[in-house]
Amino acid sequence: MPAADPMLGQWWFTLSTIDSLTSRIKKALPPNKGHAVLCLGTPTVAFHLSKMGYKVRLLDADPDVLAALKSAGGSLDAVEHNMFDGLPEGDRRAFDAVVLDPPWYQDDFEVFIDAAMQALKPGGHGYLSVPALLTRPTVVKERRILLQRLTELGASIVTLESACLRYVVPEFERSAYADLDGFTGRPWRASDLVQFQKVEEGEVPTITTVRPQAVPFRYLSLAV
Amino acid sequence: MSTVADRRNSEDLEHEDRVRSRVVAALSEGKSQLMAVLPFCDGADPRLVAQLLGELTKRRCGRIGLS
Repeated sequence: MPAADPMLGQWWFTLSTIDSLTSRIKKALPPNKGHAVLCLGTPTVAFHLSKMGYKVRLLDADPDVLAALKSAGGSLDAVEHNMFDGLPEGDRRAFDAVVLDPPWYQDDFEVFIDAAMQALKPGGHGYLSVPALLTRPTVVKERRILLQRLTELGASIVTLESACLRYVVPEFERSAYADLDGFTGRPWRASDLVQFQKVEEGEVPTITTVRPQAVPFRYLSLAV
Repeated sequence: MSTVADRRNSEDLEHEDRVRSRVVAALSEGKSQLMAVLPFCDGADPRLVAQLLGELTKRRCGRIGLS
């Protein structure tokens, strides 16, 4: 994979996380049965799932990531796509599972969740990473809003597992914390995994948000 | 009347308290290095964790008379 780009909110999963996430999907949907999986901003998981025999489509905003996956070969259907443009028409109600790891900004979460719910077939499974509870002061409220949105769109929350998704420390983060005594660059960042299932057709609102600038903690100013 | 700045300040202080309690929990389990304390802190910013760890360690050393 290319170096993670902070402007695109990229943090790559560790190998053990990719293994555990794909194992969960395998448990719900056995491979080689023609199950279709949509990966939204989760290229490493998409690549792994395609190798396991799933029919995988990846939507990702980074052309460098797509080029790297293409050079690795395989059957992955990888498409450059900005999620703020909405879900491509042909992807509606077409997938048995969706894996999504949006940048950790509220607007991104909303468009990714809306797209996932549109993409899932009824009964389909969703795997969503959300920031852990002490990631920033406002995160508890933000998570409540996201979970509420999911249920309003017709999802049933199946599980919420704490700190089970871990991320490799990217170079930009290693540099940012280089002055901290004892910071070694070992993976420390974890997110929680929300597993959900689409149980009914919800009303998907029109997306009216605009792509945000990458400003840390910018939604401290949101009225929630 | 509370302002947005007041609310933010209070949210920040509450957050810091929650992180502090996690650092205390890590210390009570004998973890005193930053990378060993971070897993107790549920995604909190390493810079904040390091600052609180420094303060708490200094206070502990003071209490038992170490310099």
